Amino acid sequence: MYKNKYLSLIFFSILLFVNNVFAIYKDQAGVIDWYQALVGTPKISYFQKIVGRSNLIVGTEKNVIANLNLRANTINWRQVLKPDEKLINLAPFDNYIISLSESKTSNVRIWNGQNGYLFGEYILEQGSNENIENGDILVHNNYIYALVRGKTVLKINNLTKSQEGKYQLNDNYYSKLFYNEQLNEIVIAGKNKKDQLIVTIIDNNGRIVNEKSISSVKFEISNAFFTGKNLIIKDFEGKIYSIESNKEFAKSLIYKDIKELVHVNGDLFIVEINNNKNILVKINDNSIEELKSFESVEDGIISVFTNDKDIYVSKTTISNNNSSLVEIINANTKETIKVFEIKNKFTNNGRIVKVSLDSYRKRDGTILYRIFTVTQDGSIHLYKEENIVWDREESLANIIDLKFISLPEITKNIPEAIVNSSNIFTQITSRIQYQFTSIKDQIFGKNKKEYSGIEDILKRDVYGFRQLLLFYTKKGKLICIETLTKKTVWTRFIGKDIDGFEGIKLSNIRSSAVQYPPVVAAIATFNDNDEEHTAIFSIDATTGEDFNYTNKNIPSSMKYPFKLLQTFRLSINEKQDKIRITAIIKSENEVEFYPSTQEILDTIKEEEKPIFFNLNDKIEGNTIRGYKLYINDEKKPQIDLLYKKVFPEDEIIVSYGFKEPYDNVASLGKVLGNRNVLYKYLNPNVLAVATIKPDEIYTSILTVYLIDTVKGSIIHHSYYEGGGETTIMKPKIVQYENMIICTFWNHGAPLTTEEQDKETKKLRKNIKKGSQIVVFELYENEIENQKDTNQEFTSYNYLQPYIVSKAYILDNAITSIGVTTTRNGIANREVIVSLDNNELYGIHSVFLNARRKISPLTNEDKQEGLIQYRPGIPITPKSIISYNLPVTGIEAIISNPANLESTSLVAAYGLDIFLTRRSPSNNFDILSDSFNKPILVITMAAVIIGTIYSSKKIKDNDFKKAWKIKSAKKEEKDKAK
Amino acid sequence: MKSILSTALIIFIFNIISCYSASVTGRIYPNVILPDVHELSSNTEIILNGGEYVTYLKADSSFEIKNVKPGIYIAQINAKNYFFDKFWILVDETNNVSASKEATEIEFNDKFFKSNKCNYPLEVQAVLKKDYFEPRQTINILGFFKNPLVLLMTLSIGMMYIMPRLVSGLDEEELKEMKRNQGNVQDFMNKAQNGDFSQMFSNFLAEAQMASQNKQKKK
Repeated sequence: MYKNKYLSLIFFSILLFVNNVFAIYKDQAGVIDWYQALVGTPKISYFQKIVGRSNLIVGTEKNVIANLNLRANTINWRQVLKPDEKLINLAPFDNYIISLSESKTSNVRIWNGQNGYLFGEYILEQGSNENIENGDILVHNNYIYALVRGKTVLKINNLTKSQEGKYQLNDNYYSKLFYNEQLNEIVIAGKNKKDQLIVTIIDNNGRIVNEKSISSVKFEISNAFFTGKNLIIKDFEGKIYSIESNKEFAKSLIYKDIKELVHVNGDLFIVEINNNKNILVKINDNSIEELKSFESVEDGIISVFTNDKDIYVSKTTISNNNSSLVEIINANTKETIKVFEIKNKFTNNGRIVKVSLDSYRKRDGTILYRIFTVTQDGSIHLYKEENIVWDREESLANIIDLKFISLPEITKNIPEAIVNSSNIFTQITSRIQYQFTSIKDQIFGKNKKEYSGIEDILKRDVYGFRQLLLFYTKKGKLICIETLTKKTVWTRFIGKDIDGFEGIKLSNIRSSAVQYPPVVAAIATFNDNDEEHTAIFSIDATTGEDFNYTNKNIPSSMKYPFKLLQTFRLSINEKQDKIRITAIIKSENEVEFYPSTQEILDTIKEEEKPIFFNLNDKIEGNTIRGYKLYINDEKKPQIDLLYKKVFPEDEIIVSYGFKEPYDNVASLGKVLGNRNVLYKYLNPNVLAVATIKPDEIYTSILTVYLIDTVKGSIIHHSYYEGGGETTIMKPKIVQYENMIICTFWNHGAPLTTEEQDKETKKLRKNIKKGSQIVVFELYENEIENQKDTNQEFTSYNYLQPYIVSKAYILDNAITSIGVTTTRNGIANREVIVSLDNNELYGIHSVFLNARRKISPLTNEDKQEGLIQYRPGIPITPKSIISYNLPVTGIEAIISNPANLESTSLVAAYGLDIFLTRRSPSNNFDILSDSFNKPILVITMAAVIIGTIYSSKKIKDNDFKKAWKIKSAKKEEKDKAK
Repeated sequence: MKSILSTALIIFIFNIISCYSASVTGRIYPNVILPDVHELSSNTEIILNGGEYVTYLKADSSFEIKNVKPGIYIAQINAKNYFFDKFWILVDETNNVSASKEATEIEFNDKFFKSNKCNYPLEVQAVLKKDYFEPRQTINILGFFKNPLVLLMTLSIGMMYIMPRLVSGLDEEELKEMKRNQGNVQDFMNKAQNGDFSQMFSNFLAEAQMASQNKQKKK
């Protein structure tokens, strides 16, 4: 019964609001939008033979397990773990892949390597979150052993699909599992808090056979290996030690000092000695025997791989030039079997940091090699020997900031005289000349030649759909992609060779105009001698080159010897290049400006208005601070603390309101059904803050504060029992015009018991477990037609807004929220949410309306366009803007207006990237796509033919009348008479 | 011997522990909306309480969420292209699991839960196939002629041809009367435009009466 009710609700709403839903046509999919599925930068990668064929398996920093296609640049399958789950390790097992991941539980999963289906799942409850990184997987025959959180070993029988044992160790700092084939024992090694080597040996049934700790060796646990008999360890000084399983001490082996030790198989190792020389060695009980050395003596990465029964070792050189040498040695025959060179665009990608190799036999029996590389910027590359198969820009999975860049209008061939001449007369004449020649060119087809490449892309189109998307990754890569064709215009790796580079923010410091290309500032922190520094780069957004200031004293990039607290853009321009000033807050009373000249300080002083800013705690903090920045009488910048707002101790900040930088408001008021107006409260300084505090009855309580950031006063505050967060759904707030929309998870009411009084029972009916959306609308006054008399808004005026709010529920958890923006703010705003089922969903403003009435609607309400309040927001598939594309892991949704008032460009990013165009009020300013052009043509043709025919007929008739010609029939009639 | 015993004991204890928390299991079955369950991708997730517990669909289209603690949960299936029912899952202190269909807008309550109980392990079926796109209008000649405007147009064009033929069959007296009638209609329309309804109707009715009387007289 309820199913039907639910369904009918959906259908009813589809029917009712079919005009309100802006759905796209099937043929528009992929034309007005584009999508990029990503996996992230691999931390684990290997080739695995699944049903006899090679597969490239990666486990990434973004906690994605994926099987990448070896022929085309696509993903065969991927499993994206939930945001709270961290991928620790991956291991191949027959045709399956075993993953170990940690969330609040430890999860061992077995995936089908071919199609990614879950095959088995083993979950271990965990109390604390200690040592989650200390996990290892060991496969032996049909058994899987998994070490989790450094202290527990799970034994899984894959034949019976059951967990056969769970063994607790006596320490929780173990991190490696080895199998001793001779004794059928499991050797577990780790490094404890006292930097001692700890080794526990257990038998097949989990019984501890031997336990020891060795403190004489100083080492890193990644440098501990098992030969099948002995443990081999490289210490910090480069000495090699061997520990026999029944001995309690480490025996030093006499050999040269080594820089790196890599395990090949059994007792075979690769050592790196001075001069970047790598040698294949055999480590015996008492000695080390050199077998074969690599020819290249450049710095390189060693990789081990197998094919059938052969074991291969490869060395890939990593240098600062565009080519790397790959040398492959067969460890069984000790012969160099292949040397080839691969190309790596060093300037764009940086050095190679990770390598995996694979060998496969072609049909004619020849052996070929594949090499998979990860570079410094986070992008991945696959080569078939020296030929590149594909490049994937996986650095896009780590976006720190994304900005839309509008393109300059067509600037081609504009004569100097128009741009630079000071004489108005010459300007006008040259303008006329220019227009005349361009018309002539157009008529005679001079301009018809095809533009090719970037030049053409960097031209604004009529509707402004062509813009640039500038991505800024955490590692410092800038990637500029054009919105219409998804073509990469330029990339630049500014973080290359800078230690500890971490991107912070992108800022549009000059938007495009006819003669000025757009300029952005990329702000980052980096390490220098273990101290955190800040850097700012001015970059021409159309080319990616450094922007050179006309004033030669201003450098195109600046480094500051401190870590910034906050940065924001001022509304003041540098005079010559019209570059907006960026303020970099060093501490609570120090600030730097970029560009910084005395002239700029003077301009700021001339402005007279102080600059207000906030230094707020990050998420999970509980303090908000407001400051005032101005230039004092000594012509030095000064910062004054205005207020400090501390939320109660158990309340933590979980979300701040997000505003689009472009927020034009077309109408100052809302016209009601009775033709009266409610004036919008358009205070630009309102910041919405959501906090959560735990609660005994309800799991937690979420509070939304609306704060005026200039004076620090709380305008409004409301709390929601049961409001909180889950691992997937964190509270999110979006602010636009006079609207504030907050989404959060509601834990629901606790179960009622018989003892509880009626009132509590009544209360709990109002909340429901699930995702909740709260809408606030702010008006200047509750009384209609009352407008604040001041022409200019100031926070210091006492004006208490009238606030209406309503709460709604949505069927799916919301991971992020954004809103469309248009050029003049006339078109409706559409709220766009990303859901946990990997869909982007557009919610029409008619649903998210705080003025929806609970009581039956009056005629006035209907005229206002209100619909009756229902708590549920219906999910209609036509509002799924990403249609059937799995847009996964979205963290932010931003938008930018097109030139058309009706249309807004929307970009969502996080893991995947999705870009589309939305027209929430339909395309009112262009002929809609659904317009039936053939019918128009047919009708026109019919009318024209009709007119011609009838005019001819009338002429004929008139002629006949004038000459009194009777038609043949009539004559016959007359004759008959 | 001792070791075997201790192992057996460990396994026994472990089994008890593993029974301690419940598993929520179920399977997706085909129906008219989703005839082939294998159409669902391996990314299909089954989640409790918006992410408190997550598992993935297996190749045999079954699922099992392990280690679920006692409590009330909303179970939902996140799949591409299809909507599925949501369920209330109640795991009680003795780790018994029961389920009912969930209704939007209603908070969990015992009465509702008991009256809407469904089979457990969950038997899930698709409710709706997601249709993301607006259908595009195609040129339909028949549909074009069904358009009332087009119908009116063709009718009036048709009349243009038929009328003169009809008129030609009449004698002069009848023609004159028709012209007078047309004049009346013109008058009627003018009055209607001026909003002079009362006069318009009275005139019209009066004339109609006169006409009928005339006709009777003629007879």
